[in-house]
Amino acid sequence: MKSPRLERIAGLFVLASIGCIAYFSMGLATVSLRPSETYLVEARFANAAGLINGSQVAVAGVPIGSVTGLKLGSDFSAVVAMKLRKDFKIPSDSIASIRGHGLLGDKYVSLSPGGADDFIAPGGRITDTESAVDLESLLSRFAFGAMQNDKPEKKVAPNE
Amino acid sequence: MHRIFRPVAVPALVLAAQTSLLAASAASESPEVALNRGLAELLSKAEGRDNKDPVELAKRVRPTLEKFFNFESLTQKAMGAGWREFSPDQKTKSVRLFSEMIIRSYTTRFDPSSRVDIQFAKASDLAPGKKEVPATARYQGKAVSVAYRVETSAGGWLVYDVIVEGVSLAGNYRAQFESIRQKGGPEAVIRSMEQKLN
Repeated sequence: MKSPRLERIAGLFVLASIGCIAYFSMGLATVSLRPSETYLVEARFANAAGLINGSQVAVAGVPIGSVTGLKLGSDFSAVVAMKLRKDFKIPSDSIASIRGHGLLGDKYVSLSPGGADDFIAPGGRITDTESAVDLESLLSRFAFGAMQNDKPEKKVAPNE
Repeated sequence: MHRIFRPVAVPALVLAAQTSLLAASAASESPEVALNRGLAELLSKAEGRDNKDPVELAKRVRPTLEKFFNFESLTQKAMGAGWREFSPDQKTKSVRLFSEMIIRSYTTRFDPSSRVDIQFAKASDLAPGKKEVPATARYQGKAVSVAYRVETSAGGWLVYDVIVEGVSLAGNYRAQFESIRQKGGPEAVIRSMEQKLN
């Protein structure tokens, strides 16, 4: 018969392992889930395709936060909520761009800090943004443009 | 009013009233109307001319562009976080060089005999005093999606960034200038712009 003490130790070991996995998973995202260490900002994008809750927010490739929510604005733009590390202040003229890890990789928000002396307050909005580049629509546009270019454009005479 | 000052004071008052009326009308007009006005003035100076010299064209259109673009703001945005390292002299020099570089990059590609058509849509709010005006530009058979980001100033709405097909003009240069600045400081950035213009 197995000793109940041994079973308890095994149970504690399993619980500790689960705790470690959870801790390191959060650590890999380098985002502290403690609200006291983060603050919220939002950014408006014309197209936020590919972003999901939990997508990374990075500066120069270094993660400093994550996406916490996506909603549709009144003007049909995408409003993206993000939580950022409290020790990282964003100058008001910073640019938020949606980038991908490689051609097929996950999308993330890349922050490019500006040179302004004032900073975006907690709950504030990053106004300068670059949306996700839609490769399919770009390809269609090139194809459409190529068809149009087959017809030579009528030049306007200088005196007209 | 003293008799000596009367001949000077009356025209001065009229001028001041006209100036404030003009400023008020500029401030009250919507950004899309202001941009349309700027485009019409720009095209009247650029289109249908025989002279295709980009430097001469840049010189001709600069005064109009300065009325509708905030080149200080655009340059600061393009320099990014490194802007704080620039001395006042370096900042002035950078604004002059960067604005010239931007204007020339367009005038070298611009054919004065071709028609340009830009249709501005209704502006949307970005923040208090900041708006974005979406537009479609048609030139030489191609349609391009453009968005003008404008901010209020004493003279009305001024463009501080242009988004072409989702790519920010300031953001595109910021990435390039940042790597140059990290290697050689603000002087290296200024040198790179001088080399580009010469």
